[in-house]
Amino acid sequence: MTANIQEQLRATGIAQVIVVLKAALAPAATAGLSLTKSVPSPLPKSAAAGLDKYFTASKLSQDSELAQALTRKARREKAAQKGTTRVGLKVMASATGRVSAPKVRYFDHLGLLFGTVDRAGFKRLRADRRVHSVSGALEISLIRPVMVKSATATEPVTWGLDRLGIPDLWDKGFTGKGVLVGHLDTGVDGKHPALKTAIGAFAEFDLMGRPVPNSEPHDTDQHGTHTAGTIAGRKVGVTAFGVAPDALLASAIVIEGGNVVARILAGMDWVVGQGARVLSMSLGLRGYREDFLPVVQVLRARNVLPVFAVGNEGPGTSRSPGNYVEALSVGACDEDDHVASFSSSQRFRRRDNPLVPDLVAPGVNVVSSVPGGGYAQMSGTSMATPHIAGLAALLFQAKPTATADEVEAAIFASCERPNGMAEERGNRGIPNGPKALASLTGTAAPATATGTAKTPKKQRAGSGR
Amino acid sequence: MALAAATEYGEEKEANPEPHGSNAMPHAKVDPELLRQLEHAAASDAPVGAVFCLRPAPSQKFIPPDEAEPLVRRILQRVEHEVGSAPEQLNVLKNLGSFVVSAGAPFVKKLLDQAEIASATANQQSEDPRIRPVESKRVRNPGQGRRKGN
Repeated sequence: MTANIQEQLRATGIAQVIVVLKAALAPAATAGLSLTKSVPSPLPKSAAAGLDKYFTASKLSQDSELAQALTRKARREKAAQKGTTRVGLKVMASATGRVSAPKVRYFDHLGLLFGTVDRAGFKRLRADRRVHSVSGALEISLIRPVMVKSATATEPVTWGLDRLGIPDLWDKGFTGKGVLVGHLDTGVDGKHPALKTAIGAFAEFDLMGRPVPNSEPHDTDQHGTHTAGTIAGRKVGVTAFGVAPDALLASAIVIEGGNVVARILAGMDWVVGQGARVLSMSLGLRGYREDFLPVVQVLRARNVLPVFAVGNEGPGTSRSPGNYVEALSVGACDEDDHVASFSSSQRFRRRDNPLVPDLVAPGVNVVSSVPGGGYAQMSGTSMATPHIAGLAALLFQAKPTATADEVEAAIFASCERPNGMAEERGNRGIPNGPKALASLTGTAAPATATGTAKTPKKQRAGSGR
Repeated sequence: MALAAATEYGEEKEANPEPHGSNAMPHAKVDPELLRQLEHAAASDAPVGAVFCLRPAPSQKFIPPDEAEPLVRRILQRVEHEVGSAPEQLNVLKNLGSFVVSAGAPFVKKLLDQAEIASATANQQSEDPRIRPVESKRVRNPGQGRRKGN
């Protein structure tokens, strides 16, 4: 666990830790205990007095994200109830409705402290004689309530496609035709009405990463059919939900039957061999891991645009390979242009592309296909990622000679960060299809173009065709 | 740990002279999980599965697919000669310049020392890499997901 903290400190300069006090491990006093009071007393906060100074207040913690969400909720309720704040929120909310996040949390029944440290704080904590151990914190994601949706089945497109301006690109004739998109996931239901003509190639692999002969398209879960539908689902009923409805998928099962790295790499290798221009991958390992770095660099060098989900563990977290400089990493936003509370974001100690995700895309209440011919609404950065992969497919159709870097740069140039969206959470903001097309093809930008300043990721030495 | 030429993720070491004459090549980045599995396998004699990424030459952006397999064969033959055993299974991912082996711990350890290796990862990981949706709900049709009009 200490190795994990060191890795996080090297990559980001901070790490979330759990501190166990020595006093917490002392045998509980039994004197005075009775059948009616058999629970030992909490360890007084004085046992941890002064230790809080070793922690750092991070604006990018899950606590601060929760505090911001509670602040918004408190203010909304305050306005709605004409000054009456609910009792549960009153404890934490100030007169202005602002809810503050604690720098460090103390769990008195366990004798544990939980918070964020920098390298110096970590050293001092480990040296403090009251501290028994300092270990890496487990990743915890917020559990969101399930929302109630209205049943309006007459919309021409899903909200995500609408938000990205995708129908405008279709109107110009760009539907992904002729573009192959790599899709590495849990598989895809090849019999789904929306996908049966979308699968250009399919594969699954054994433990050594060798293709399984005569494999037919199928999904070992629901995840893959959902993400595939967002990339290239064909319109079956009233509402269109696939960003690139004429694109083809090179889809492979890579996360089935054990956590086997060879399968993922074999999938990447196969996708390159199939001639895909974009790779959509809604998977990753928590934290910063260099396992996939050389191969993602190869993808870039071979002119494949890697579009990866950043993770669902909230602020101050990210997953590899989505957090590499070389990846186009995608976070999730909702229909009100807020970054989803679960969407990961993290700043790294590196010159190029220090902030992930690169952008955010529709990832809350996303409706797409699921195995068996049905549909489901899901939320996650896994749902945002295929929106951007699909957009990239439309852009590659518009300019087949474009490099992966050029398409990425066009997407970045089209991004706009809505008012109130923190850069640390949403980075460049939300892309816009028509503006990305204009940027890529050099045509006039749409009249609605009002984007904020965009920063190219970096000039990659290894990029090219 | 007898993995002198390998560097665990994140370690910042001065490069030692490589075993094959080049002292310009940086060390391979090695997944700590692979090192753990190698230590464990040393006692049990069980094969270890590992994924290796090759280092392109300084003049190359990537290793051309038709060069990847011959290069892997040369490296494996060299290691086989030094260790006296061969890998049980091999799969070359030529488009990525990578390969997967299942071999005894001494063989995999020696592979880590080779100058052509950029990184090595345990094939079997403990963590599930899938990013699961935070919520999921069946709907009758795609139009049901839209919560508000515009």
